[in-house]
Amino acid sequence: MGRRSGELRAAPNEQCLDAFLRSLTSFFLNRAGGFMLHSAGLVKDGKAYIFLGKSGAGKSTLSKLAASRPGVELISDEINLLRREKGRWRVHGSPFWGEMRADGRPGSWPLGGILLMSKFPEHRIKPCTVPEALRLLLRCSVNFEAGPGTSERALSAAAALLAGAEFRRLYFSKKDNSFLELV
Amino acid sequence: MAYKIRKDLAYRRIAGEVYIVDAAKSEMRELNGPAALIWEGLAAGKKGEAIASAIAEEFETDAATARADLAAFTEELLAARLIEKL
Repeated sequence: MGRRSGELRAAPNEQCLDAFLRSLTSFFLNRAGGFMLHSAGLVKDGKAYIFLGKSGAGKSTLSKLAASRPGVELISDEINLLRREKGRWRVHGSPFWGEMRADGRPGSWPLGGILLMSKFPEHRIKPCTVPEALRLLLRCSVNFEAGPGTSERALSAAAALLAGAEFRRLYFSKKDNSFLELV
Repeated sequence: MAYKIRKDLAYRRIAGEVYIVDAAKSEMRELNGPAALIWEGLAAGKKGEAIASAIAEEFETDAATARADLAAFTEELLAARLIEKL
């Protein structure tokens, strides 16, 4: 990367291109103090909200529920890109989608908040602690390099994000999309 | 005995706690209180006596207790392979 040139040899198919673009995007975002987050993202009232959850936490379910609500727009049900610009965090659309298989949503929006997802019989929203937020943030951060430099940059970016964004825990049920009123 | 932190670990103090990321194992550890102080002392290359003094001062304990805490936690860090003997 330092030489600004190189050669890529890969099978000419969509999966290879997708994997390459994910690796490249995470490489540059890590160096730019940003994040590629395994998450669901949506726009409400002009602000972007990121929903973090481990596999099975309900990102696809939440995305489908949110998509049916007028005035709410999905950014991605799988990968969302965060970057700090002029001291403020913004969320960028990406071509990376999960189950919903949309075509990508170009654009960027100011970050409204980050929600840690938990399935629950009813919708609730509560504050969360720094350790639980950091743990899930790093777990959901997509990096394809395992070197200490990558980890140091991710920790540094996480500290900045924890200081500059509101993290809360969202308990949500798949019965309806009224959890959006709490966001 | 002097120790050094493993080169491939990343760590940072965030909101009062020290977080250590071991990317090779996909593990994260959290340290607070005297443990965080010991870690940062080791990271700064301080000698055991200096770290024990810092613990005694910060946590208002006597020097013998601070030295014992340091020795016990250093053993834990060695066992967890987070630090190495120099």
